[in-house]
Amino acid sequence: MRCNQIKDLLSPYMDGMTNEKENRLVKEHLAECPSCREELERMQFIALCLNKMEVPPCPEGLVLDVRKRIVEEKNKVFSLREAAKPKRQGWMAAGIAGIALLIGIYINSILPVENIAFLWRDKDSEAGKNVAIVGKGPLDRIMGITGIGKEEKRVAQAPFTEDEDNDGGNVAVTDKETVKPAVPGKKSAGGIYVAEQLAAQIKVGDIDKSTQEVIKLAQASGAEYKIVDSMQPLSGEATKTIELAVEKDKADSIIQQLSLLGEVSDTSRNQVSLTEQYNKVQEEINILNEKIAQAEKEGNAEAKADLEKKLQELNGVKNDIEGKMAKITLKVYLVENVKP
Amino acid sequence: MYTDEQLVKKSLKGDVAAFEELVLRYQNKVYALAYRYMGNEEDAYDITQEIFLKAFRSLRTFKGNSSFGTWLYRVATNVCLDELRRRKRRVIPLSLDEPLATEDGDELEKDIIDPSPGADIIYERREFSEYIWTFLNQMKPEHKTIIVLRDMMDLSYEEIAQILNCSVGTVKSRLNRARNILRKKIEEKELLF
Ligand SMILES: [Zn+2]
Repeated sequence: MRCNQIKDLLSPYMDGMTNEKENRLVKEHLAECPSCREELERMQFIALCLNKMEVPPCPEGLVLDVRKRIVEEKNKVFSLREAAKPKRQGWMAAGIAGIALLIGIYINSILPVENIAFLWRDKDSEAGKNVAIVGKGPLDRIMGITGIGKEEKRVAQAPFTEDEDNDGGNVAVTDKETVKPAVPGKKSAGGIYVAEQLAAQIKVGDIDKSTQEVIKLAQASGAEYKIVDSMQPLSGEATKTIELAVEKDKADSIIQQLSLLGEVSDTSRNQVSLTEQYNKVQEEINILNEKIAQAEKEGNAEAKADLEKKLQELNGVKNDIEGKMAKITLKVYLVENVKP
Repeated sequence: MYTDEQLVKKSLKGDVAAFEELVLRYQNKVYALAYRYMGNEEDAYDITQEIFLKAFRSLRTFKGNSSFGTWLYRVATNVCLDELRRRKRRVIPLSLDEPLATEDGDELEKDIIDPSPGADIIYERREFSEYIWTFLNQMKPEHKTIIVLRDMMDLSYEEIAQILNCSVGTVKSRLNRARNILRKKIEEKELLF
């Protein structure tokens, strides 16, 4: 046996990881080779020294610091008003306001559409056109009439209203003045109608796997989804944009699970006011109803049928708007985290 | 008393206290790993936080194929490796005309500060351990990792293989290689032996 062959066995030998035959070979060789013996002794000495390096105990308060750090990620995580004050009391009581609170679901700020477009790098959005908040269809036509894009930039809203069940003491963000919630279907003159859209970029390890996970998540929660595009940013990393339309009461749990896919950044929250559109449609409907009543009075069946057809169409538009308000659009921008 | 796996499930369902229980259970082990990587308390504490944050974010990827402890070590090792690589990239060689020392054909490590304390300083040290560690700290992150896991954390080859997602054979050969590089590094100084 030559020294070179033995030398490769010394490391496993000192860990007891050589087999019987190797063991015997090493022992025999060591008995007659001072050079290999010395090498083994040195390696053992180095390992022993390292093993004895003193490690101070973990400082106290790690749990609190970790919790704080997680909460501090608020700016990196989707914001969601609904999650701020869950309706389910038990959920809130379950454990320091639940994971949604822990990961800091937080209303960051309400950004104007232009900022959203930038953050989302939405290729589809052209200047002046609304970003993805409205799909193609009758709603677009109404948008064309009334002109959308009068979103206001508002001050940052704190998400968490005080709640007796909320004992997540580290969350310092409380503000009772939250945005008046949208009330779909109600037509009081002073009603506020908004479509809400949340966006975030998530860095993931494997873009295809994560895309599948998002789709699975969407399907499991009955959310509509579509893969918007797969544009390549300048850096050349693989990306995928997925849009989910989710029921408001399911949004918090979906966001929670999305946030676990990877590092979340570039988040934004946007509310597009539909008040004007909604009132406009409602007004049209009222006028049409009056006209229909008039036509009926006049016995003009042809005009009445024509008006009723228009009414049907407008009701469709109204439903569409209500649908937009009942759901939250989550735009997930997946980016593959390329390992160097 | 819940098992780790039960706590993971509870955490995923939104039970924050369950995740904090996991932090409590593993904080000393994770901190010890971080300390052995970083060599000082401040960095070790920062990295420990990062590790638990990363673990929290990727909790969903824990499928129970290994023990939670092993999975957490994997997360911890990855965070430490990322940090080491990040730091390494940041260091600019002081002297550009000084040839980079190649060791074992592929190690270019002159960009790391060479501690090389004089012999007198070494004898003043109460512990050789810290001194040896400074050499370990000069090694390639992959080599440093395997030595930290084996010689400092006392983990078995099987555990290391699970943590690094490789075979026991790979652990064996990589450890052999790393230990020999470290030994030669120290021998070069002709101080210890
Ligand atoms: Zn020999």
